[in-house]
Amino acid sequence: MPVLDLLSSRTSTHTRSARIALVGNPNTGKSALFNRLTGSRQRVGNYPGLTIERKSGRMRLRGRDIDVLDLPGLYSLAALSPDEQIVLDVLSGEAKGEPRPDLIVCVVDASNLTRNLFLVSQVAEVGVPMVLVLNMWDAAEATHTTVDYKTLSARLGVPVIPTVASKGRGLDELKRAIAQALDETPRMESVSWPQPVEDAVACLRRGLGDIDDREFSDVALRRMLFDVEGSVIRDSVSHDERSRERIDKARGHIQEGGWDPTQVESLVRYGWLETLLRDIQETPSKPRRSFGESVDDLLTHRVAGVIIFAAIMYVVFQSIYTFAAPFMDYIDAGFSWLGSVVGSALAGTPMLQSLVVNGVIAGVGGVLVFLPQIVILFLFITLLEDAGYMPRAAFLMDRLLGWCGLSGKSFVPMLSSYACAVPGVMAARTIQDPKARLTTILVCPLMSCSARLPVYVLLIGAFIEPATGPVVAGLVLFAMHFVGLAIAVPVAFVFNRIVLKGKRTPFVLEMPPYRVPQMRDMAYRVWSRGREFVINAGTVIFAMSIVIWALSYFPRSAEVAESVRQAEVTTLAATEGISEESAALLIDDDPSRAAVLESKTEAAYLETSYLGRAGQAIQPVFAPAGFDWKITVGVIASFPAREVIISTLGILYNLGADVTEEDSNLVTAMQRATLSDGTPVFSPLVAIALMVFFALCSQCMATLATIARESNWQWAAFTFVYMTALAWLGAVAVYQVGSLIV
Amino acid sequence: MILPALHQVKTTASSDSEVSVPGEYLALEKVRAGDEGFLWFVGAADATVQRLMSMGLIPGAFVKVVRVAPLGDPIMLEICGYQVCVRRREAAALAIRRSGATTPTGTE
Repeated sequence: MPVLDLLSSRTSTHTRSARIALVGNPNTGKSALFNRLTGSRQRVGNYPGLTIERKSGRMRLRGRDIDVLDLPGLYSLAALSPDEQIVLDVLSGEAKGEPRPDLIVCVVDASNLTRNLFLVSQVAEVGVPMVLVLNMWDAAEATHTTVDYKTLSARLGVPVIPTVASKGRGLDELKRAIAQALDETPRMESVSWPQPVEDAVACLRRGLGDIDDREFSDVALRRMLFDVEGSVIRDSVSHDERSRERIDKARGHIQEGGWDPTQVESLVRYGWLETLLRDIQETPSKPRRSFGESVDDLLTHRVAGVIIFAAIMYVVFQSIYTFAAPFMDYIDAGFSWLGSVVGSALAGTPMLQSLVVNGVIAGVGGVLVFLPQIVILFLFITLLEDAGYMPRAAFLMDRLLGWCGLSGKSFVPMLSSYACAVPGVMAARTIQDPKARLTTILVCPLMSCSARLPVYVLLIGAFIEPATGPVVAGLVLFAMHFVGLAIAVPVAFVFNRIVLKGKRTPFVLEMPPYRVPQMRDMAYRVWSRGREFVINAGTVIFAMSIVIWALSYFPRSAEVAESVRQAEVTTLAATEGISEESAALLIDDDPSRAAVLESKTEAAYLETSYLGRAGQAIQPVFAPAGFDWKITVGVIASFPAREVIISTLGILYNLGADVTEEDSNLVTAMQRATLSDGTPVFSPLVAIALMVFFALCSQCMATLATIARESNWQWAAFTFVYMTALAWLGAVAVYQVGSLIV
Repeated sequence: MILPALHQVKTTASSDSEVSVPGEYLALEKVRAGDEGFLWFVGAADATVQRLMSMGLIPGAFVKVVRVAPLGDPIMLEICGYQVCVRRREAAALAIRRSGATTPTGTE
């Protein structure tokens, strides 16, 4: 009979593909192991909690296809956050559309065995076959920690394999053990609970039997008894109010037995672990101070730590600025060249030419120009993450950001957003707490990104510097970079209080040891980030560029061009005292006059385009901020990408679309621009109002698309609405209050 | 790794009369860098404290306050050979019994 059983189980497991899941504490090298097993290169970082979502891959083992699931790291099955819930769902077979895994590969840090095995003992009780991996074996050896893994295997009843996943050591043994375990289904010995706990479980099962149709496992019932707060107890109590009573009654058994129900689990498990590991594990009694600890003394020092932190951030920020500039120029020049080549090739079909050159190439190129910044930023982030610096930065910054609902981990994404909110929002993935992560994502676009800089430079150069001199102009530029940050903190506070109701999740962060980053992993991650960004530019930005182009191009009636030409000819004829025919000839023959006419025609087209009409219709909305309809058009046109305002203002002020922020002609044209009553359009006050608007407004399709991908479209829409509202309020406040003072 | 024998810590700490004795226990809310001792409970365990317990911060375990963040919070603790940081307020239910003291005992 046993032989028959064995045979039947063998045939059944051989005929189908198997599923295994990697489970373990954060930062134990699960993702590195996953990459080694499946050959895929999922990101691996020295930062607890990098696997925010589940990743799955496939490996072939002895002719069998095996799905490998990489689950988020967690410390306990008392799931508090959504990523921990994922693990619980997968283990209990309650994940949507997914059967329970056939085998759990528990990955533990060999140098921190006791704490890691706490989770393993919980997982064992779920009753799924298990293989135990003692990863980072080399790090344990380095600290003279020895583990008699053969005895451990004998005591637990499951295979125990030492590995060094980052270097690929022990993988063959692991694969062999996995293949064997899939056939033999070894189950791990776990904690035997004291009688009061067993009584309480039985009592609770009886108690819930009357009021709840669901069948609860011992594991689920114990979670209800032990956890003060957690998904299992939340579900059961919300199901029926009486459940709370039954749970309290059952807890009485534990209390009568002399245990505190909130402490009994940890005490019993750690007690069991102590017995389990007796004579197996040897740790140096007095560990000598490691190099990492001395580094830590410096990096997390009250004074030096903060200075070093500021210095590192300055270097990152400055490098992004400096190193990216030449590459950005190349890309920009490349797209200009492409535009001119394609432009002349399509000269015969002006509409197609405009679509491709002004729409697609200008739109996509305007975004791709930020690729070097993205690459450099992610190079630094990856380096800091892999080396293990990020948790230290989070430790330093937690107090500064914690009060408003952000966490120390929010700081890096926010800082990244000073270069570009797109990688900043992506960097928020490192925040485990979903609420703090969402808050961070929502405030990241408020940081003054590099695309705002051209707008500031243009407006300060035109209106602030002439009035106040270069020192104040420099200060204003500096201040503009602080507006967003200053607003972000109270905004985050409000989000947490009003929008994202609920309790603030605690800050419990493990400090991983420092590690030398692996070049291969780093290069891959930077590459995959860059690729993601380019794909985004090729899809979302591409589509948006065409839409905006169409709105600013059509209807483009011939009458518009004709009336502009007629007006120009009439004016020239009047000023020069010549006939209209000669004036027309003069315009056609003189290239500079022809260029002026063309610019004016473009401006007229824009004015009568759907976008132009919209600008005039919407202008009353922006009147309290002192914007005329042209600025309004510029503001509206720059919603897909804020830099667009420069080329838009260029068109509107009759200078053609091809101007840069240093173009003094645009500056003089804007300085000369007057309203119909003769007063100048721009004053320093209008310029500041406009800059505040740009500082706070969500004018970046790429960012909104990224927010949508990192959260969902509703939150992207919310970001757009709140930032636009904030920008309008800010601009109006500046203009109205300023008007009273000036 | 110093762990108390089970019978010694079995008693409910949160209702322990001993905790009211001042001076003996130093609340984690008030510790300074360099303080060390055996962990003890002076309040009820909430979800955060339960999480810390599952990470090894159980009554009787030896902890050391490695460092304190610039503005006095959070604090970094060393326990079981690794380091973890917590906010003071979130660890308010925990206290340490200064070194030199024996492994804490219950009221049994």
